[in-house]
Amino acid sequence: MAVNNPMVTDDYAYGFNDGDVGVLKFGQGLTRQTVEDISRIKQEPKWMLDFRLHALDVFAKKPMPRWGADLSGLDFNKIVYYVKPSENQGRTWDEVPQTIKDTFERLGIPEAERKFLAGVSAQYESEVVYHSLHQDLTEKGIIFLDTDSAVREYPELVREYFGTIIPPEDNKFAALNSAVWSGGSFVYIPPGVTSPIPLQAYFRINSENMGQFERTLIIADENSFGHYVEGCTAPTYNSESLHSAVVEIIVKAGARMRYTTVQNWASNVYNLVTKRAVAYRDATMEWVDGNIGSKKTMKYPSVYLLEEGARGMVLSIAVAGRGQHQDTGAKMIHAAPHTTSTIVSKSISQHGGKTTYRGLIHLAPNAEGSKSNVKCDTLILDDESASDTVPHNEVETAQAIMEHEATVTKVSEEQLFYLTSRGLNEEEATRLIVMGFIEPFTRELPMEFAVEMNRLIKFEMEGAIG
Amino acid sequence: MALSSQTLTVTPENVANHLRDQFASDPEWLLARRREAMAAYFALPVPTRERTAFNADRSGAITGFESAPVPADLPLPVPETRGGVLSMAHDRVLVTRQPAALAREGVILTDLRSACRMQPELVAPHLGSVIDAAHDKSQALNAGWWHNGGFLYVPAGVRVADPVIWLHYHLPDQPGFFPRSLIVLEEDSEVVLIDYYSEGENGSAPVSRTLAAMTVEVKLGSGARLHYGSIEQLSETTDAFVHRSALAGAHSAIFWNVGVFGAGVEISRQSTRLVEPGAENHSVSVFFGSGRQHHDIDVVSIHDAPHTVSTMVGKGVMKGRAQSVFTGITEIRRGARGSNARQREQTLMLSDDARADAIPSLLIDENDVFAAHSASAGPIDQAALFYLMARGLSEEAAVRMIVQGFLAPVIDNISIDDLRQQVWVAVERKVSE
Repeated sequence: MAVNNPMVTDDYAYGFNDGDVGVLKFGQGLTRQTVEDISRIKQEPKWMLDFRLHALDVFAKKPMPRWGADLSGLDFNKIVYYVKPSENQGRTWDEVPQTIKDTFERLGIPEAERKFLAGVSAQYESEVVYHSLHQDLTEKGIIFLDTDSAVREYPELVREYFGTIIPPEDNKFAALNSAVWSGGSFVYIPPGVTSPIPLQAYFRINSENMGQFERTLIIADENSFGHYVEGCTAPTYNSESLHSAVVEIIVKAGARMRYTTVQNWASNVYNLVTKRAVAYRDATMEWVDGNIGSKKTMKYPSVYLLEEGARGMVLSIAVAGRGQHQDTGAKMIHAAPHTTSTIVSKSISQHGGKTTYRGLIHLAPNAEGSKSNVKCDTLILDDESASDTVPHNEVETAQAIMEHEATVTKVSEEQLFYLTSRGLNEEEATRLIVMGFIEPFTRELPMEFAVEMNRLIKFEMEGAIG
Repeated sequence: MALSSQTLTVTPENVANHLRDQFASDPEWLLARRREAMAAYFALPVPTRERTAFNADRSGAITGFESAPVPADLPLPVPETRGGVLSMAHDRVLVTRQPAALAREGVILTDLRSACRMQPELVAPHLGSVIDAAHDKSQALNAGWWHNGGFLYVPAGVRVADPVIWLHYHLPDQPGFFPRSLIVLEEDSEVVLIDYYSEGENGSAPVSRTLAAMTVEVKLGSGARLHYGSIEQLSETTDAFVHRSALAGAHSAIFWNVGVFGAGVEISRQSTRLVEPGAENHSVSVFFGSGRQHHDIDVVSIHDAPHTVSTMVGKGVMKGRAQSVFTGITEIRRGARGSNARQREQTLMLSDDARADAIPSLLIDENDVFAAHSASAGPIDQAALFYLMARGLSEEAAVRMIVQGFLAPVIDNISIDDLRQQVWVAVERKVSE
């Protein structure tokens, strides 16, 4: 296993690996049989099997995207589409296998839980293995489950919304996810309920060549509030892995939902994710999205502002180092009057990495009185690295305002000079400037994530100077 | 007035003969290039644009090869100016006026086909060297079938005081319009050039559709400065493909001021390559769409040498059911250290049925740079409108004033007096439409 490869472990702090613990693991490749087997093992209802099989057909027909990151290294026949790590879901911490616990401990999950964590649902390989739900949440009627369990326990609720925001036809990777999805979170917050604490899920990929296709569905009912937090880190492997998630969010009238991601996949993972939310009257959807790891990321969280007064926000950072391409951005579709959106994107490229901001603002003919503001800033830390900014602004009404600005620079010589003249060395000074640059993002993270974020950035930047 | 038009069926097999008939006066080297370009034209696909629904069948059907003979005595307007003038209608040169002082300094102002015959050593190395004939089908068509255009050559160190004016008239009975021009500025020379593309009313019945492929190539030697202004006011029955491109040498500067007002569909590309240190590109585009016009404008600035500078401004006004796509591309290549690039795009929306897309892209492969862009779109400020109307202006007059205020920072900065006035005239015509 890759754990013996010093090149890999040197490069990636979380590249530890506890052997392959999967109890049931499929061979490589994707066939109709694979999809039927996944559905049978999960004892799914027929409608879900039909959904999967339809999606498989769509996947076969859809072309690969002809834009964005270079995906030529991705071989769908070399991916394992399903791995079930242990027979049953861990009900309590004691029941979780020791090897998996060791991994979690290095990631800091127990500490997080000790503090205030209620719902931890850590996706280890393809099935959610550990899931504890704080009493407070169940009392309030909040449902926080892995999606597989939700299909069994809340079939009506899941069926009503599943695949309605991102149908398999949306794109090739959404179709792939729809065919072979496994795990992910299902969240339902009843009308008027405020989730007292962030709902956290920790995802990990652990098997070589294993695809992870989690499927998350979140419904914030009227006038509710919730904050879902997803963090990702995966051990490093030698050959390519694929992470292709679908996240669908429905924010009903007057509700507010925030979805926070810190993505730190290992540098061999193709991270091709479709995330989309719909926001109804006076609802607010906020994506806080950090992309630090992976080999190639293509991810453009979007908000469809469907009714009057809806608001959307995307706050994102992307950090690309050696061999990485972060092709990320945001989309805001203003399809109703008096809707507002804000996008703030911060990108950093270094060690030959490349970041691309690719965004869309669409102001539909009926979006009168709407406003959209987009700000993209990029730091390029060395002369091997690159950055593209490709915003698409589409205005179909004279009664709306769209504003967009972007800058691309290196670390300011003046700021460096100022800091080094105060006694910092150049590396410390650069790090301080970078931390300041991404501060609008980190300050929006829950505390323990902000700490982890700072640690990750520091780690990513080591050796950035000279 | 209209004489009987020729019916031409041009195929890959007979194109060589047709070229020889149509362009009999051209030297053999030029005919050889035309044949090569036409081979590319037949081989290339009809261009598609992501945001412009361009009907491939329609554009395939209008080739523009058919043409009516252009009479020699067209009474088309010629501006009063002390500078040089070249006025053309298709292949017919109507007026060539080169002030004697310029000729003494070695400035050459003539039509491009005459230049190909008379000064092949000056023209041949540059013609087609900035824009590849095989860039796309419309460029290949122009490179193969261009009927005429301007040639301006300014020797090293010569500064031309008065603006040179080129007028390219499209005649209503012509289904094809393929002007091609070449501008060569030697070291440390400077010139102001205004390039008009207009309809030449000659009383003949207009054809239902016109295909236009218009090309301008610019070469700037070290330290040269070109102020290039252009106004396009072709009829809305025209589908226009416009390609302007410049290669800028060390410490040279090009100032583009381009106004897009006409054509039914215009797909234009303006590309400037800053290939030596210190070169500068300053580009201003004003576009004004009305009715069902569709303007799809790319402005490209490529920084391929250290300490190069570019500014790019796009200002659009949209009314009626007009659509615009403004794509600004600033590309800073590796090694272009110390480069500075800015883009700014603003669109004023006068109508709810109009649509404006802006794609201000920055493609940066070098870290020791500064690059920024901003884009905005919005309606007329209702408070400003109310204020003006409360002062007794009619709504129409108030809107006109606000449009003028929106465009003034760009248009009033045009340093060429004639051009500035003509742009205002064109804006006024669009506002009143």
